[in-house]
Amino acid sequence: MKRAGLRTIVYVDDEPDIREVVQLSLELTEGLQVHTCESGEQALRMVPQLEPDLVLLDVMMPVMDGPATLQRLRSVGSLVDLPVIFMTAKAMPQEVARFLELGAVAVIAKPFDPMQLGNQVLAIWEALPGE
Amino acid sequence: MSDAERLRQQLQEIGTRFLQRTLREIEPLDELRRRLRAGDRSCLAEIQRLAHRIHGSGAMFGFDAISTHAREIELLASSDVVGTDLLMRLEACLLALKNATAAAAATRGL
Repeated sequence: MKRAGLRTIVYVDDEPDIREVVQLSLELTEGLQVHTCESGEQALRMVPQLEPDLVLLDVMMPVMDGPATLQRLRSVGSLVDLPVIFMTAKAMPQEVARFLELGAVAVIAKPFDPMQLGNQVLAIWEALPGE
Repeated sequence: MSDAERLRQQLQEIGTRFLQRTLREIEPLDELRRRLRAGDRSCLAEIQRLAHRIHGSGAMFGFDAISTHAREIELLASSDVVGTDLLMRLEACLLALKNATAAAAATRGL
């Protein structure tokens, strides 16, 4: 069964410039609502409330990095199957394999093309198995 | 104006803000380097964090030289051994980062 349309995304990154670029890029896609968090801790508070369709997680963040944030999100019952994409400059094949093993559905390499990010995310979303 | 043109303009503005902030962060980075030279190894993590941010955003906005020098600093700050060689390389990389940032800022009239 095909997944429903992508409507809501939460993007988590400690870097304000990148948060702004990601939000602007993704919001070029009509109907897509993007919320941002500046830390893993904030994501743990906001994601259960917002119940997004998809979470984009930066890997390298102070205090709680992306993998630790994913692990904590997974421990919340309602978020067990929430699709999560890692965004990272560490996108060598062995690193990508490790992130997928941790439970990410995909990895987007940084730096990314802001003009193409929306299409990239939509392609990943549409390739996901149905709910 | 199309959405794509608007996004390009917004990216240009965010890139300029990035340069302004990076110009302000050079001195704190150099102060951290001085503290490291004086024996305060706790500075390494903060140098690494700042350099990682500059590296990532610099690449995002197409400031390749800034990103490259920041990456070198990030790698140096991840070292376990703080010796004279590392301190000298860190100083050289910081100077290169400062010059690259100043050059990029000049192209935007900053």
